[in-house]
Amino acid sequence: MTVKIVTDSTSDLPHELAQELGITVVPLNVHFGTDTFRDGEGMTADQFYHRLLTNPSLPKTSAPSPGLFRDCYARLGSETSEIVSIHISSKLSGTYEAALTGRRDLGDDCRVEVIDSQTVTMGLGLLAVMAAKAARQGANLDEVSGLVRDAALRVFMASTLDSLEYLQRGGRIGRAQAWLGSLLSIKPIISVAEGEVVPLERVRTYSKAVARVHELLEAQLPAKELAVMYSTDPGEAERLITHVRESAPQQPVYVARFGPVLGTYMGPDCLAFAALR
Amino acid sequence: MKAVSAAEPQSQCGGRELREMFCVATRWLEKNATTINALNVFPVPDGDTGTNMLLTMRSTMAEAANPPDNSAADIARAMAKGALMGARGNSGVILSQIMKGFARGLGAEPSFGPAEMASALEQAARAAYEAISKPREGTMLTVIKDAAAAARAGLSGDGCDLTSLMGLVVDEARRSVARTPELLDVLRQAGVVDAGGQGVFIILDGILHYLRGEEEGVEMTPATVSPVREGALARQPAFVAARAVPAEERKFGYCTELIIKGSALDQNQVRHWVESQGDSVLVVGDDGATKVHVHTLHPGSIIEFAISIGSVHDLKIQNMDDQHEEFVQMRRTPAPAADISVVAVVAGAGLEKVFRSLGTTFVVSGGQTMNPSCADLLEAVDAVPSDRVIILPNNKNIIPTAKQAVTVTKKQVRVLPTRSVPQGLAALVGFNCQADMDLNLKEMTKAQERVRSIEVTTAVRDARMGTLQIKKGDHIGLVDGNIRVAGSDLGGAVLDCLKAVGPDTAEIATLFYGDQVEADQAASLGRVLKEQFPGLEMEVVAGGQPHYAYIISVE
Repeated sequence: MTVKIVTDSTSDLPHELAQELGITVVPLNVHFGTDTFRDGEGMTADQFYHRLLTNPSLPKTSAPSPGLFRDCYARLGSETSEIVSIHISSKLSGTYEAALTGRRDLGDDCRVEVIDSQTVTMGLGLLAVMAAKAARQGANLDEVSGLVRDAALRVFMASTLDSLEYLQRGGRIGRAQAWLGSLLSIKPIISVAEGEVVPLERVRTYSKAVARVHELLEAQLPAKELAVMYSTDPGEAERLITHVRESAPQQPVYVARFGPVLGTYMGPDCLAFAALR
Repeated sequence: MKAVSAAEPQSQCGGRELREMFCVATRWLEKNATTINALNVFPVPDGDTGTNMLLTMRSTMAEAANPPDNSAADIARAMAKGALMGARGNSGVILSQIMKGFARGLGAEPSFGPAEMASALEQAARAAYEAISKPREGTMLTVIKDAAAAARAGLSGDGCDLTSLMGLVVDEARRSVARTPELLDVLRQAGVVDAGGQGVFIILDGILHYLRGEEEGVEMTPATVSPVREGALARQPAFVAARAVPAEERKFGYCTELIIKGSALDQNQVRHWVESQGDSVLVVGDDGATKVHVHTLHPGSIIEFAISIGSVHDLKIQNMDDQHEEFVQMRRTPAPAADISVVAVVAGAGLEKVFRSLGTTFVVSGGQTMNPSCADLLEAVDAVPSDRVIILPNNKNIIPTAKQAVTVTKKQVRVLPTRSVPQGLAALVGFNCQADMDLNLKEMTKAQERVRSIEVTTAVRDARMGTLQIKKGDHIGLVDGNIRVAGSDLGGAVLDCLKAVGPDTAEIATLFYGDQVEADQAASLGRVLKEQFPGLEMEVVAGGQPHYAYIISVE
C-alpha cells in the first residue's frame, strides 16, 4: 500500500502539482476582520492581494484545527495504513502542533508520521514533492520520513522583500529584526534557517535585490528540485526561470505563487526561490 | 620660557636639547598652521594639512616628555611612537614616518651631532618614501629628501657644527618648497606651494630657531588651529586628548532648550548672545517667539538672558554627561552575535544615527577637516566587542590613518577604503555580521563601487578648476570627489550634480542635509528633484554634517 503524503497550504504547492502527485493539502485559515477564509478556498490569489493592499488592517492567519487533521488522516486511513504529514516550521506556525494533536485521536490501524520541515512555502512544497515521488516508487513510511528529514537540511531559500513591514506586523520577523532600526529604506533579502526567518543580505534598491536573488539561485544550480515563487509579479518569476533555463537547460523548475498565508507576511513584490540540493 | 638653547654654535646635543628643539619646532608649526591650511589645491574647506601636522606633533611631544633627559635615542624613539599614535590625515601619517626614520637615523647614542643629524634626516626621507605606495614628487616627500641631501652635502664643509648644518638644511628646504609647483601640476594650476612640504620646512626652521637661540621669536599663539570651525574641532575627543585631558574628565554640559516669547525679539541678537555661551546653537522663530537650543556649561545664564528680553516657555535642561554616558554605552552595544564589528568615521549626529542603524558598532566622530588620529581609531577598535573589525574611513584623508591603525593593533582589522559617506553607507548596507571577513570585504567592496557620491559645499576662496570659474562663497558640487559644478544657487548646484551623475540609470538618491540646512529647505529641494527626476526614488534624511550642505548617495 502506498504511503500517503499530507502537507499544509503554506507549502504553496500549485494545485495541479499536488493533484498529480496525490498530495493532500490541509488549508490554514486567513481572517480579514471577521471574514474567515480557508487558504485556497473562496478567494483567488488576486482577490487576496487586492484586499491585502487596500485593507487598512492586516489579515491574520491561523493554523488548521486538530479536528481538520483528524478528519483528513481518518479519510486517508481508509486507503492506506501509512501517512507522512510534512508541515511548516513549528517556529512560524502552530500547524505542526495541530497535526500532532489531530493524530492522537486516531486508531492504531494507520501510522501517521508528522514532520516539522523547519521551512515553509516551496521549501516545504519540494519536500512534499520528493516524498510523494519516493512513495510512488514504493518507499515505506520509515524510508520516506528519513528521506524528508535528511532533505530538510538541504533546502535553501532566498526571497526579496519590498519591506520588512509585513513580517514585522505579522510578528514573524525572527532574526531579521536587527534590520528594523535602519533609518534608510533598504531592500532585505531573507531566508529561512533552522525554522526561522533569517536575514541574508540587504541592498538599497529593488532591482539590485532581484539581481542578487538571480545570483544566489545560480549558485544553487544544479538542484535536485527547484521552485521559483512570487507574490504579485509573475513577470519577475518568468525572468528568473529564463535565467535558470539559460544557465542549466536540464534543470526542472516549478513555479508557485505565495498564497494568502505567505502573502500576509511577505507582502507584495516578492521574488523567491527554493532549492533542494 | 627660560632660554635653554645654545646661543653659540653647538656640536653635540643630548636628549633634553632634542626634546626642546622639537618643542620649539612644534610651537613654530602652531604659529604657521593656519597659513599651511590655506595652501589648499581645491577651494573646498578641507585645508587641514597644518592642523593635521600640528596635532601629530603634539602627540609626538606628549610622548617625548616621558623618557629621562639623558638619552637622545630614547627620546627620539618615544617621539616616533607618539607620532605614530597621533598621526592624522595624509600629511600626519607621512610626518609620523619621518619621525620614525629620524629616530632610526639618530642612532642609539645618548647624544648626537651634525653627522647623526644628517643621517637622521636621510633615514627620515627614506622612511617617508617607503610608507607611500606611489610616491609623488612636489610634496613633503621631496622637501624632506632635498633637506636630507643638503645635510649630507653640508657635512663635508669646513668646521660644520649643528647650527650651520641646519642653516643649510633650512635654506634648501625653503627652496625645495618653492619648487614644488614645478613638480606638481595641480599646485601650479592652483597657484600654491605644497602644504605638507611647507609644514616640513616650518618644522626644520623651528629646529634652527632653537639652535640659534631665537625661540623668543617663536611665540605661542592662541589655538587658532582650525580654519573652519573651532568649536567643531575643540569638541573632537582626539583634540581634547591631544591636550592630555583624560577622557573621563571631558564635560559636555547641559543641553538647554527653551522658547522665548516677547515683542520685537531680535533673532540675530539672541543668536549672537547664545553663541557666546555654548555650542550646537540653534535659534529659530520670529520676533514674537524664538526657540533656543544650546549646549552650555551654564544653563542659568541662558535663562537669565531669556527672561531679560521676554518670557520663558517649555524649558528643558538635560545633563549631557549623563546622555553621553548612555550614548557611549549605546555606541558600544554590540549587534547580536557580532563576530565582526564595523568602525566608521562620520561627522554629524544624523549620519551617526544612520550608520549605527545599519550595523556600525562604533562611530568615530570626524571627517573633512576633522581627521581622527590613529589613536582615536585604535580606541574604537579596542572598544568593540569582537576581535575582527572593519574600518570605514569614509574620507580619502582618513584612509592612511586607518591603515596605520591596522599595523599597531592586535585585533584582526581590515580597512575598506571608502572615500565618501555614500560609499561608506553602501558598503555598510552590504555588511553581514554573520558572514566571514573575506566575504564581507568582497561584498562590501562591490556594494560601494556601485554608488555615486555627490557632495555640495561652499568655496572658501576664488579659484579656477579647468573651465569652472569659482568665486568665494559659491556652492560647489563634487561628483565622486571631483569638482563639477559651481554657482551661487544651492539647489541649482545639487540639480546639476545629479544631472552629471546621469539619474536615468539610478534608482534611489538619498539626500543628507547638513547642519546649515533647515529641514523645510531640504524637503522642498527633495520635491523639486523628484519633479525633475520622476523615476528616481528620493529620500531626504537629516545628516547634520558640517561644511557640506548636502551629501547625496545615488544608486
